Amino acid sequence: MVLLLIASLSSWGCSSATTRTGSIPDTRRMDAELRPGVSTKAEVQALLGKPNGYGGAVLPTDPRPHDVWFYNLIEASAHGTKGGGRVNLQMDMLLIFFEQEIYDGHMWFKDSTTGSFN
Amino acid sequence: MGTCGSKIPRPDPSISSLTRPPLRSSGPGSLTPLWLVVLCMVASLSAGCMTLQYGWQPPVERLQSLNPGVSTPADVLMALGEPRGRGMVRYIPEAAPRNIWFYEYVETDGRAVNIKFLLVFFEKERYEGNFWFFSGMDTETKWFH
Repeated sequence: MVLLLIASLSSWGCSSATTRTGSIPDTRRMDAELRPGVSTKAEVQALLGKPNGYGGAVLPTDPRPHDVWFYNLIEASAHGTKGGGRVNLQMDMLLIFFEQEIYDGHMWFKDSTTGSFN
Repeated sequence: MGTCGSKIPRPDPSISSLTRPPLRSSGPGSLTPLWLVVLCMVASLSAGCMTLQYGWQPPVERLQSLNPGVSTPADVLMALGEPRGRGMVRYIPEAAPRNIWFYEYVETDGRAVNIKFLLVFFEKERYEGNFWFFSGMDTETKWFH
C-alpha cells in the first residue's frame, strides 16, 4: 500500500509532500510561568493557546479527578525518488492536568519515526 | 515510569466476551495507528477523498458507572467493551505495578485527524482509575515538486 501511495505521488509529478495536523506550544516557559495549585485555566491558555482536545483522568496514587487539555502535532512527510523513497513521521503530545480549574501538572512526549520503501 | 504492552486484534463481536479465546498480540507486520494516519494523509492527498478509521471510540461517558476499588475487570468489560491493548505501569518504586487496558480510536480523511485514547488502570483485579483524551484537528499540506 505504501508503494502504491508513494508511486501515485510520483505519477502526479510530485517528489515530496509534507502534511501536518494540530499544533504544539512552546513548553520552555511552562516551568517558569505556571505554578501547580495556583495558575488558572485562563493563564494556561494565555501561555499555551487553545488546546486541540480535552479529556479527564483519575490516576493511580492520585484519586482526585482531573480535567485534561490536549495539545498534539502530527507531521508526516514523504520523499519519493526514482525507485524508492522515505517516509518520516513526527508526533508531539502535551497534556495539561487541572484540578478544580487550577493547573496541577503536565506531561509531554514526542516520537519520530522514519521508514523507507523501494 | 515504566510501561509495556501490546496491541490486540478486535474480537469477533458475535462471540460472547465470556467465551472468547485468549487475546493474542498482532504480528510484526500490522500497522500502527500513526502509520495509518500517514498512509491516509498521503492517500487522500493523492486520490482526493478517503477516510480511514482505526480502532473504535471508547465510551468514556460510561466511566461514571465504575467505582474505584470496587469494580472488577468484568464490570469494566461490560461498561467499556473489549480493550484494544493491554499494558502495565509503575509510577513510583513504592507503588505496586498496575495493569492497564488500552482503548484507542483514530479517524482521518486527510483533512482532519480525530484521536481518542483511553487508559483504564487496575490494582489487584479492581478498577482504580482512568486517563482519556481526544482531539479533532485540521491538516495543512505542502507539496514540493
